[in-house]
Amino acid sequence: MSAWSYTILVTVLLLNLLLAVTSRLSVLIRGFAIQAACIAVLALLLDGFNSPHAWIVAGGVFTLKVVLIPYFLNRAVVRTNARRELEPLVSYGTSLLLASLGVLLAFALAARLPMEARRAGLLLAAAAFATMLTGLLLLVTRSKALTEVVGYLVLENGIFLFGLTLLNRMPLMVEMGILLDVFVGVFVMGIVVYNIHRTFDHIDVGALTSLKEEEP
Amino acid sequence: MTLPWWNVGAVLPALLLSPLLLGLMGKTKALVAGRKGAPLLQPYRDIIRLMGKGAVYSRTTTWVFRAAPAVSLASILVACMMLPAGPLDAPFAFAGDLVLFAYFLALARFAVIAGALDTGSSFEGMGASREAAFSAFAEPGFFLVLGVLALKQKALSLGPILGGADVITWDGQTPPLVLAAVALFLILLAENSRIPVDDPTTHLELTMIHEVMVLDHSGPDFAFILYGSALKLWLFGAVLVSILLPGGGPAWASMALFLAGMAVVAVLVGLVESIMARLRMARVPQYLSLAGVLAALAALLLMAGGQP
Amino acid sequence: MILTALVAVPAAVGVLTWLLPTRPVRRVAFLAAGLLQAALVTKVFLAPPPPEWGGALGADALGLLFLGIVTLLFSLGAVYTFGYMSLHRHPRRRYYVPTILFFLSSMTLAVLSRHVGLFWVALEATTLSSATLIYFDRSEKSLEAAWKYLILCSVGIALALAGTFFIALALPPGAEGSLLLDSLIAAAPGMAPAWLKTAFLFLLVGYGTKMGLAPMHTWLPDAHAEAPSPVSALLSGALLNCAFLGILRAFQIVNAAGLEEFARKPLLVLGFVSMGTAAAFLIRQPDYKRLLAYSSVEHMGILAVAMGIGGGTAVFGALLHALNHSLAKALLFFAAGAVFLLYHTKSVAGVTGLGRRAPFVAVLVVAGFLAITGTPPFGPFISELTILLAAISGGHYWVAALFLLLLAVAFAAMGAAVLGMVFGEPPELPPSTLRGWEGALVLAPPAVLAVASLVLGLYLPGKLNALLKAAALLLGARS
Repeated sequence: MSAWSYTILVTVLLLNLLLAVTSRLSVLIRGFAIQAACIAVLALLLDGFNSPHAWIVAGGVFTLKVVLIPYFLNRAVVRTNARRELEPLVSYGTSLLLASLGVLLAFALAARLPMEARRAGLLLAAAAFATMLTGLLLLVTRSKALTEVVGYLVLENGIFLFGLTLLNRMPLMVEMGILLDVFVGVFVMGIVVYNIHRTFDHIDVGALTSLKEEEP
Repeated sequence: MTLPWWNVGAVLPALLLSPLLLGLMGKTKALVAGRKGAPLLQPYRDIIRLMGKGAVYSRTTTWVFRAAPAVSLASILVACMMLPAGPLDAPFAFAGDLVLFAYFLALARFAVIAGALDTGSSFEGMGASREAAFSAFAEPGFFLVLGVLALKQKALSLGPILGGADVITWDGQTPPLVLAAVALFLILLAENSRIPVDDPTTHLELTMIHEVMVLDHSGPDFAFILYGSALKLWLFGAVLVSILLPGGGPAWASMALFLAGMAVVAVLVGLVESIMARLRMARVPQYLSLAGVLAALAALLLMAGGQP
Repeated sequence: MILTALVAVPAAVGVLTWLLPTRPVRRVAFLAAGLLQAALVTKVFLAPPPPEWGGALGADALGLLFLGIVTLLFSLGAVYTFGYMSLHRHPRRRYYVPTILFFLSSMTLAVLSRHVGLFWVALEATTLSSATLIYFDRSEKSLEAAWKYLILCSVGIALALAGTFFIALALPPGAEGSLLLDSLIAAAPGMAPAWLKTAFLFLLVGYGTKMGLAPMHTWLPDAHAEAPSPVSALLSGALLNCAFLGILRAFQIVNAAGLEEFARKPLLVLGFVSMGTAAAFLIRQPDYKRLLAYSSVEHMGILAVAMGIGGGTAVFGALLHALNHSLAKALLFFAAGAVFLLYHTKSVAGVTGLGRRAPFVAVLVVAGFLAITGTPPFGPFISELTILLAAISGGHYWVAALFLLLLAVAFAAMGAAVLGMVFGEPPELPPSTLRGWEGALVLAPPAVLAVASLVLGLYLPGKLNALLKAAALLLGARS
């Protein structure tokens, strides 16, 4: 692994911490986009700049996750007027602590799995696990619908990092399908978020509680 | 324990130049704000002027209050003895001295806090409690940074870790070292009572941390405190500069580079003070835990073997 | 070509119906697509075709079994929808027919795919296409259900993607880098066990979320209760099976690597947690569609428990039960739709005297209830008995006892609800609208399913038996 890929992976780890502590949705979306851009560059670094396959994947990631999805998310922020996540289930200090513990856990997990040096190295697996855990953290502890969407996207980022190690093994079709699914998923979620806003006049998922078991 | 007496010279830059850091910082702030500012040597003048004055002691204070500035300054001076300066070896080194280094800094802080509590003033008590709380948050981060450096240099003494012939090189370990340096800079700002943690120029006792603790000291006692904080800034700055500077080259060149690096740190702190606002008190623990987390990440990266 | 056609035709008709201008034409095209699909699948069953797309699409015994279930339910559902939507007062939904056809296309792709990546793509596509169907009512409740469904299943499916990657990472360095099921099974003995175990756990949790295994089931009662009844039948009867197929595919690979013992324990635990959770929520459940949804959680638990017991008999029982549950659950959801048309409420308490108001619907509800709770002479009785016998003959007495206890709780809880609905005096309501050809279209599909369930309880056709045996063989059943 080159010094550049190493630095990029550390950046990905740092962005996870940023995502865990920020309350501003615009920062959250930008952090996700930068993370995705890191992944796009990493695809080229790991698979070589003269591999057309890597260029297609990197281009796809860049177009969808760095340009289109953040654009739609930002539009949703403007339209729903939800700029800050004010009431997370845990405080941001606790979030930072949990995210740090997540990084520790990720390294512990990565150290237990066999990983060939050629394919990835410990740090790639650790960064991927840490990103997945950060995504899950956002999904579990935030109550705004948009934050949860970003959490899902961060989770996908982490999984895609694992996918990078398989770049020269997987048929291109599957990767493009995956990217497309993410995009369509966010698109559909965006529509739902918009509708939640219109129907309930807020996008606080925590207040979506009409469907639950009532005492008979 | 070794004590080559001629190495005492390594302490001289700290002793002589540390007040200049304060002056440089003040000048930077003034220039950014568009003022002319106090002359660079103003801190020296302040210290000399204070030394010539007599001290006033409140009747409610005890020997603790009188001993505090001297104990504090003495602790910091001992800490200075363990630190190499650029190419010069530390006068005083043994395996594990980095722990002692950290504890002498803590002892200095303890003395000031004890002196503040001894006055019985509610403002000083408040400042003391804040200082104690925030330094408790900063401590793990500082130790982690020292740990990262020890891990990188595979040594437990500040001498080999920071200075001499075995300076830190950037052999593919850039990210962890950058993280450690950033963490150390954040801690430096907090430990030296700078914005964004504390505002040394504020005029409202309620919002002060460090300044409010030393309100009752006067004359030579206050000079000790002032000189002590200048030395402390020098200590943190020296560790930071040693991380960031490349080693090698002739001794005079690395000495010049070291001093230039210290000046840059002072200017940097001045710039941060000019462009940032003080954090709300409640956010300070978060700020300090961020420093701790960055240092921990650096340690983790090094332990994971760094770049393959 | 025919396998490609099975996936492509519904999608193409979907696009076409999107363009079609009027509602009646769309609905006829929908019905035609359903019947055409049934015809094509019959042809596949009569003469199993060779794999297509370099082996990525293929119909093995497992795939054929689930393809049969999906197609049968969809065709009956198409007939049912034709009547149901004519009787149900609802605003126009132009996207309904195209979306449900895309839903069919993605489910068909899932059951036919023999490539773990392609399977994942197909299953994610089912989530996205069915979410809009759940939001059909455009009420606050259906929006909430759609949101929960979308976010939870997307997270689940994301974890399954991680699991898929881990399978590829488990491949030995020199191995051919293909995610085709056959080459994975061939390479399984040389895979790194640590990666493969991690992969199975991720796939189990990921696809298990979509399958409705507790404790990841929280979306299921909401989604299945809020969707229109024909969609609920498809979600419960067909889609849950597709997710189960994902777990079975992972099991195939793990089994080939000789790690099936490792895979059984989490299946058993998740299965019992699901059965227990479902039993707890079935008791005095006030909403009859949620009642059916929790029953689905229970039956998915049964499938997981059966796979957890392991051995030829239990696996055979699991596959047979998947079929039986689909028939009975679709029957019940179709009947529930009819009840909703008669009473305009989903509350158990609001439905009384069904026996007097609509005797035929009451017969269907009672038949469905007896079938789903595993009462003889219906099909689920046979499959549950098979699983129980496998547990006892394998020496898992505690498993057998717990299994019986939870089945008994479910029987009592559902029985109490059904009895209250069927007997008693009907409330004052306008006369039944279930008449004419629309009424016949609503009632015929559940009647067909009731007969099918009854037949499977009395006699297992030789061809079906052979298909199930072949499928069980794929899952490592030796006896």
